This record gives sequence, C-alpha cells and structure tokens, in this order.
Amino acid sequence: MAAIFNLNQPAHYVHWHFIDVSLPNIIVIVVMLVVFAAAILLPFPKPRESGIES
Amino acid sequence: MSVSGPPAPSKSWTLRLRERAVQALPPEKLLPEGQPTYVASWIYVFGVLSLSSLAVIILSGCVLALKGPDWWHFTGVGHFFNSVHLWSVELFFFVMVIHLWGKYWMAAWRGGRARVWITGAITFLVAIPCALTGYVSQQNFDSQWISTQAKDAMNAVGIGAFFNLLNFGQMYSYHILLLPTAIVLLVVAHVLLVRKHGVVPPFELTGRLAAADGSASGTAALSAPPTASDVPAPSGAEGGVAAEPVEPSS
Amino acid sequence: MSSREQRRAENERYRTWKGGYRSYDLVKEASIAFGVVLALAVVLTILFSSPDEKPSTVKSWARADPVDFVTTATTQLDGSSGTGSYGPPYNHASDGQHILFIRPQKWMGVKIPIDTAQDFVLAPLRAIPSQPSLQQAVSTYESAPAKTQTDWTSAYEQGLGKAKASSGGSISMPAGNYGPLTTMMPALLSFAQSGGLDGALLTSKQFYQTDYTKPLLFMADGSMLSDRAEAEHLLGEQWGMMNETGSYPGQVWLWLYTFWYQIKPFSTSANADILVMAVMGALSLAFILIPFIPVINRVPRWIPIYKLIWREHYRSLAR
Repeated sequence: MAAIFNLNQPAHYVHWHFIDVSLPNIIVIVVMLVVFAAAILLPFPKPRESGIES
Repeated sequence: MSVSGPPAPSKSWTLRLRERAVQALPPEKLLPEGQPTYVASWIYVFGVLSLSSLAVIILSGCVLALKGPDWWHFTGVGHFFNSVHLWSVELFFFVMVIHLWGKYWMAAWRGGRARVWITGAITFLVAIPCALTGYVSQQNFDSQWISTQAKDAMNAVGIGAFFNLLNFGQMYSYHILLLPTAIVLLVVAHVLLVRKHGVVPPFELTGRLAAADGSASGTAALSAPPTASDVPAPSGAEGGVAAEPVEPSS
Repeated sequence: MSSREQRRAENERYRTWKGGYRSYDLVKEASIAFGVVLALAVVLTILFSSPDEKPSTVKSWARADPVDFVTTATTQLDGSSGTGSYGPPYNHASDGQHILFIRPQKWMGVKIPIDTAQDFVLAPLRAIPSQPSLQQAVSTYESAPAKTQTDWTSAYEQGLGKAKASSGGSISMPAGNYGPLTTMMPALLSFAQSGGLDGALLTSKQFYQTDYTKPLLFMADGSMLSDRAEAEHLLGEQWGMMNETGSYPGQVWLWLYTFWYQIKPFSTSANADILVMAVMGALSLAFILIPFIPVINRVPRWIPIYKLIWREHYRSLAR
C-alpha cells in the first residue's frame, strides 16, 4: 500500500550553533506549541442555560 | 447490611477490600454524570486523548502480535497496521506531553493530588523504554542501529546484561507484554486517583479580583453539591449550573 | 497566620470542590476522543505510511565492502575491535565506564561472554567442511605463541590499509608476513559472502534463535552500519537519537536525552553514557517529585497561565 507522500528520502535539517534538528521534528514541536496555545486560548463551548442539560 | 448470606465470622478480606473500594470510589464517583463548572477549556481534553491514543496503540499492537513480528514486512495490510501503530505512538507522546504541560501550569498536584502527578510522570517515563523496545523489535535497519547504539547506555549503568537490546526475543517480550502491562496499570491507577480526588480546582485569586467577588477564596459555591438522592430543581437564571445531581458530598 | 500556614490552609481548600457542577457525558467524550485519534492515525497512515529500511546482513556487508569486513574480522581475531576491547558484559578487556568510584558496568560482570577471536573467526572457520588446508591454517594459528599471532594480525591490518576489492568479491593484499591469515581471512570472507557466517553466528547456541547479539556486535564493529546511519543523520553527534530514517518525524521526546551528548563535558568524555544517564536519572526523579520541589512547584502561580485556562470561572465569580 503506497503512501500518498513518500517520506523515504533524506530529511532537511536545521542547524543553529550546535543544534541540529530535522524539519519533520521541528514541525512536530511547532505544532505542539500551537496546539497547546490554541487549547488554552480557544473558547470552550458554553453549556445551554436552559436548565436540564442533555 | 451489605453482606449476602451468612455473616463472615470476622471481617473477611473480601469484605474489607470491597468496602474500601466502594468507599474510595462509589459508582457515582467512578462514572459521574457531571463535572465541576470550572472544567471549561480545551486543555482538559488532552487526558482523554492520551487514553485514546494508548487504546489505538494497544489495538494496533494486538493485530501485529496476532500475525507475528515479521508479518508487516511482507504484506500491505501488515504494513498498514504497523503504520497505524507508529502514528498512534507519535500521537500518544504528542497529546501526553501537552496534557503534562497543561497539568503543570495548573499545578494539578494541589489539594492532596500529588499521587496523580506522580503516576502520570512515571507513566511518561515508562512509555519511553516501551517505545525503545518497540523500535528495536522492528527487525529492520532502524532496529540494528538503535540497539547497537543504545546498548552502550544500558551497559554503562550496569543493566545491559539483564536487558540486552540486541536480544530480539527478550526485547519483543518486554515490548508486547511487560511494559504495556506496566503502563496500563499505571494509567489505571492515575485515572482512578483522578476520579477519587476530582479534577483540581482553580487557584484562588488574590488581590483585586478576589476583592471584587467578595470572597478571598475563589471557590464560592454557586450551588451546594447535591447528593445522589436529591431531586433536581430548576436552576433558574444562574449561568451554566447543571440541574442534575452529580457528586455526592464527600 | 504565617504565609506558610496560609498556603497550607489554601491547599486544604483545594481538596474538595464545593461549588457548582454541570452535566457532562464522560463515556461519550471518551468515545469521541477514541474515534478522533483512530481517524487521525489512519489518515496519517494513508498520507505517510511508515519507514522500513531493510536490515544489513554480514553477507551484504562482506559483498559491499570486503576490505572493511576483513579489517573488522582481523581486529576481532586480535581483540582490538570495539567488542574485543569493550569490557563487561562481553569480556574483561576493560573496566568500562564509571563516575568516580561508581562502576556499575564492572560490577555487572561478564554475563554475555564473547571471545571475539573464537566466536567471530576461529569457530566459524572450523565449521567449514572439506577444506583441509584451511583447517591446517587455523591449527597453525591456534598453536602459535601469542606474540607471533599479534605479529601476523598487525602485519595483516597494515596490509589491509592498502588492500583493494577485486571483481568477484575477493580482496588483493600487498605482500607481507601474514602467516596462516593468508588462507584464513579470504576463507572467512567467502564464507561471509555466501551467507554462511550470518547463520553460524546466530545458531551457535541452539537451533531456534532469537538473540542477535553476536552478528549485531560484529557488524557494529565495522563501518557498514555507521555509514548507513550517517547518511540517515542518525549518528550520536547528529542528534541521531531523536531522528527517524527518511523524512519521518522521530522521537522528539528524547530531545533532552540527546542534548547532553552534544555539549562538553559529555561530548568528549569516555564516560559519556553513564554521565548522561546519571543526569537524566536525577532529572527524571525531580520530574516525578515536582509537587514537592520548592520554587518549581510555585512557578505556575507566578506565571499565571492558569488565568487563561480558568478565565470563564473567574469571570463567573466576578459577576
């Protein structure tokens, strides 16, 4: 079963001083931070005010 | 009296265990129909997402175990389940770490909940060698490299002879039985402790905001905690308060 | 009340929520979460699949780089290979790593005994049938004094520095005083290239095998695995612990573990592994005990991210 995107090729790497991180890993880290911020900042649906809740 | 049949002559172990369990976790606490009103943020879903990821890991792992460790190399279906297993592991660590961040910033160990934090932290730390034993059980180049490298750390701390990363049989046993069992036991303890102690209440506010609401403690009750036998009363105009009785007063 | 007593009283109030509840379906939420995660895992699978790079074998190694194979095999013979000089749990050649007087590697003892000369070279050669001149060469080697054996292996290793792989899989060596190695090492090479050495290393204890210690150690002593690893950015100094083959995300959660190996004193220490494990062990213990660690357990109060998380609750109090 072939994947839609073939990731079986060398990754890009980001170098900064002694730090050397792959682009896929950076994407994971950035997405984690974004999701964490979103989880805290996005409004949570309020329950209905009408009394008996479903 | 909760005993059926003739009474036990002295307190039986069974009776003691049952009474302790029911006292710590009565059914309404184990599976409550409500939650405190302050549980109103998306950060709260990351615990259940972690549990769900673990479930998908175990289910996909069971499929892989059904067919044996080399199946996935030679069939498309096998490779599919291997992929689901790998991605659910990535998702597991992703959501578990966000759950951890949330719980740290909420100082969720407050109010006698240190064991909740401790079981959660240990779960994370045990998940790491569980993943390691998985990586070295893949039976491909990745396994060869990871095992021959990581063995140096195991040997350096004196456990390499008893936990031999190069021994596929041993690593596979740890990966599909011993470590998942440890993780499940830890997670069960963690979740039961959350059910027992409840989700940690918010920090009390100090200063201006506290003065504005007229109480120094931020836990001013909006309604008294109803008991299981309460008849639900209409909640009127107060915002967001459930009419259903949920938590028995502890 | 002292501030400590105030804090303790406050903490007691956190034990039980005496405020309002709202209706909520725990089982429904868990079911939805399970469905979401399952769907995500399946979508990621369809999009990206998973990596599966074929393993190296002693056979593929001996064919692809016969000079490296024979060089490694010769160092196995004289015990100067990585495994030969490792120490516990494989042999007594060194005491292994330590921090001050703490020597867990030495205390572990030799529990997986490996004699690299016997297990990787001499015993496999002895298993090759119908070659009396080869068996004679092995006997000559085994019965020679240690100094003579070392003279032969050192000369051979020097010669290998100038050896070339020839078509057909063999290697051509410059002339030298190699003694019986002239017969032994080419025989081991062709045995390896036929796949026989993979099997011989594996089934040495019993028919059914699940323990790949010997072939893996043998291969790891050469450059085949590390050359492949370097190309995939998996070496220790490339933060390899965090990486996966290809362009797949790897083990991001190992970032702090691999971080220490990149900086001094760990990066230049012969005891890097035990030092890093000690640091990570201490940090892991601290992580478990955060509720009890002063300052660390107060930071969430001082940096009030909680005000964002519970903003609705605080607003409802102010109403």
